[in-house]
Amino acid sequence: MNARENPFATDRTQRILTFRPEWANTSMSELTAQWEKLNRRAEILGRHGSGKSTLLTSWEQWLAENNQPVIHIFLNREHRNISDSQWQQLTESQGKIILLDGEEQLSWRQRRKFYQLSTNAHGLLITRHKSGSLPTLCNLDPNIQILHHCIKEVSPENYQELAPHLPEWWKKYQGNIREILLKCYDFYKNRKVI
Amino acid sequence: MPAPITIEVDYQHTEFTPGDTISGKLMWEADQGVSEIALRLFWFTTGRGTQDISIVTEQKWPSSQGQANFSIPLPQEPYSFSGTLIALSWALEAVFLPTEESSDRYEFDLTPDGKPITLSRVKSAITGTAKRRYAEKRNK
Repeated sequence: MNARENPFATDRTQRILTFRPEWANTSMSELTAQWEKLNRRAEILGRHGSGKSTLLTSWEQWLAENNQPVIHIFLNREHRNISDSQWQQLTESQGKIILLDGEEQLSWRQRRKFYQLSTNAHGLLITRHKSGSLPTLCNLDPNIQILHHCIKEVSPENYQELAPHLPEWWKKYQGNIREILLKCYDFYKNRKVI
Repeated sequence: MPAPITIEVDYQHTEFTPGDTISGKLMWEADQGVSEIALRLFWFTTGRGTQDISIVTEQKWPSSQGQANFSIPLPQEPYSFSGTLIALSWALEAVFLPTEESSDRYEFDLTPDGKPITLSRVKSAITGTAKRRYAEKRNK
């Protein structure tokens, strides 16, 4: 099966899987009310592949629907630094909401500068694996049932075939849903299409 | 219900070569709040891992116009290809501005001779544990 046909191609799964607050026993209105209560400065916690980035992307869409200007910065192990143009955006963050995915990637010096520049922003929401200096908005701790929901959502026609493997993969990848979706990709990668 | 923007190209095929020109017609019905229509030529990858996207060129028209003809020369690269891990495709996409809401998309291949490029499995490739051992051996 080539990459264009693979139902678990990363761009496809990212497009299909939006954050479902009901899967985490909450609602978007509950989360936004809590965020307001925290003066719009908070962190989202969760392990690798628990849905932090997915929630942040949904948050950005919700802000866009409310005509709220956003600065969205995405950091990971390959991209650990805020770029010059992003620093420039942060200096002009007054009235905007800053979303920072992967705050732990920042060095001590960068983090200090980041929080100094974000003080005038209208709001700040970051993601981390462990608690940092901001109050916690939510701590994502998905269970295997959420993985089942995700597989059904991405590829309902393949769910029956994949379902028996999910408990083993859940254990092997320690509940990292992103990694398990890649495992599903590999499951179909070498399959011949008839 | 018809798409609010329609891309009609002047061809029946979806294979092009570098230097070809893609031409056609755009038709749209814009709601209030839409200021412009943009037609973007871009390539994108799909497969296992992060997606790469690059917009090569963009043409814009006022939303009040309702329709427009386009003619876009294609660049020399990158070529379209398809493998089990990654594929690269080209596309034209029409979007409403400023909402960026996309409507119609026309996907095509750009290859040196107009024939699809399929990456085949390398039988002698060293992968997994064997690859790591090979690298460790080389580094000693």
